[in-house]
Amino acid sequence: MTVLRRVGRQKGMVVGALMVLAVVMCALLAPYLAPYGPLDMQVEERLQGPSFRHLCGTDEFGRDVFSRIVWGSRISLEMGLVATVLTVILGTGVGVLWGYYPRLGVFIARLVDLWLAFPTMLFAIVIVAVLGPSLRNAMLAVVLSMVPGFSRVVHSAVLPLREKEFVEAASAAGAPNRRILWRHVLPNVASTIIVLGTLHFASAILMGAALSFLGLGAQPPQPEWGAMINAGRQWLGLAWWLYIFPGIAIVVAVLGINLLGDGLRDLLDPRLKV
Amino acid sequence: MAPRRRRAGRSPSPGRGVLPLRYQFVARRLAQGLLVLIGVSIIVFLMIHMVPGDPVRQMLGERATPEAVAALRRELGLDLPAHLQLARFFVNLGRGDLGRSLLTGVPVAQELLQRYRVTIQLAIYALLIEAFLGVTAGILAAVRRGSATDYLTTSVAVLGMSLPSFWLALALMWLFGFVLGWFPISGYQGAYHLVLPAFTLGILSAAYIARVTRSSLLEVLGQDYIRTARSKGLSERAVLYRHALKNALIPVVTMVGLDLGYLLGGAIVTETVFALPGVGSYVVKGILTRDFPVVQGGVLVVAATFVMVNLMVDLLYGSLDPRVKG
Repeated sequence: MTVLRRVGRQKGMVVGALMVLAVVMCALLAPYLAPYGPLDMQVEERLQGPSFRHLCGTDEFGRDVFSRIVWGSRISLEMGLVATVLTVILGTGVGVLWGYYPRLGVFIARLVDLWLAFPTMLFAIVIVAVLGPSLRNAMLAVVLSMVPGFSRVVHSAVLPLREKEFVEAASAAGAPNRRILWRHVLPNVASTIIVLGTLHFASAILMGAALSFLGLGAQPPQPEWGAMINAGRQWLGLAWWLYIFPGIAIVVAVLGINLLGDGLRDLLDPRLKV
Repeated sequence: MAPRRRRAGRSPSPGRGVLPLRYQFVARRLAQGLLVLIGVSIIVFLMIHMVPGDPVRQMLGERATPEAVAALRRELGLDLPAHLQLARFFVNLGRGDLGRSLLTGVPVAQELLQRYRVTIQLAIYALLIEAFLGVTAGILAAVRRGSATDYLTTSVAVLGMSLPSFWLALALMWLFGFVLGWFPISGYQGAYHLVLPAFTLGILSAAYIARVTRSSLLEVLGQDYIRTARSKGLSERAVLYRHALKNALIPVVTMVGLDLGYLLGGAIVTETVFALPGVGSYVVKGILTRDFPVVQGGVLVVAATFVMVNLMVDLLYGSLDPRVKG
């Protein structure tokens, strides 16, 4: 009960969890929630403003914007989730090795410095430019641009552990490094990784949407939120619903995850500054 | 923002070397910065070799004549062996020659120089907005901790962190450009055109600055010397402005500085949405039109700026915070 009570005191976290839940439900129940298919065109009803028939209006092909947003939650969540899992695995691996092995660490530090010499978004854009624009490549670009920053924080969490008595004791008792890393180091940075991973989930969705917005991620006619905003912006003054509503969907998803991450940080790892 | 990292287990012994300690620190950081710059140039150079398939074919299309392909390959120096290409790249770089745009024929360096003026202006305006909004909000929230002001500020800050820049840009464009008609929607003819883009960038970064200011000030306000200042009868105002803020703003200055690096090269999305002729939109245009020299030159200049700004922030941090010296 005490855990639940502590969670309950974090009002922001509860709000965030509800927002995330709403987006997840949209993704799971898309076929039932969306009144129309994401690609269904009703040409005679194109570019209509919001109404009861079309909650968020229709686009220039007569597709229902609300249905596309609901279906789009699948793309954004899936992309964000896969990108985050990959980032957490790679970033934790690199960060733990970097913090635990001093010699290897010097090498990794230089590499990460070089990596971080590119602004994150520029790096992602360049990767997509090399690989070619597609949703999968955008996801890969997001991962590659998030890993160095992620591993840097993990590294700084691992570093002080090296000097701790229980690690020294395990080492003196003859435990192999692999065992020390798995049994002693990793569990002690687990909370940092959970909090960091949650906050990176939010960034991954934002960055993925930004890449799709630039035409480097999801391609039309995929109902991806960033791509929808990009397609809608040519109707700037004429059809505001084409870009305002998908944007609200992004904000709900990202804000929910951020609030959740903030709450998790206060509960699990109050000293972590991210 | 993680604090500057110092290599564990190896603190420089006092008196090592001929230079005074603080210059040693500066010299070491400068040398590191130079190395990173060289590394960045090599990576940017390698990009052309990483593009799958033949970059020249991709640029000219499938139906290009073999002569045209060979000519372009010669012009780009792609007919040379790799190490000579790298040498040529560095020699040209040293002369300030970044090649010519394949699309327009304009020298990339010249175009970048022009576009930099727009980007720098935008960055400065955004920075001013960000610092003013962020620091003010952060101080208000920290001083009235737990109040409605604090609650509101913190909530707005989290919301600000969750806004996609391109969407905020469009929303501002729609409201202030289209509905109210106060500001131009896109293009660039003067500072007036930078108002909406600067606010887009400024509002987003202010959210982070407010959070950092708040938590840093709260930390400082809990320290002993603040209690001492209060107990000697100083007014709350004097405690805040003369004692607390000086220390609390150190991490904020670092963050604003790092943001300058992002703004000078990372305002890619915002510049693109507002169709501003800046460096970021140049790179995106180069990528979408497969204009290779533009991408190479743009990325190189952006990354170099980013590295140099970060270096300066690092050095500034060293002079602000006496603990980092040496």
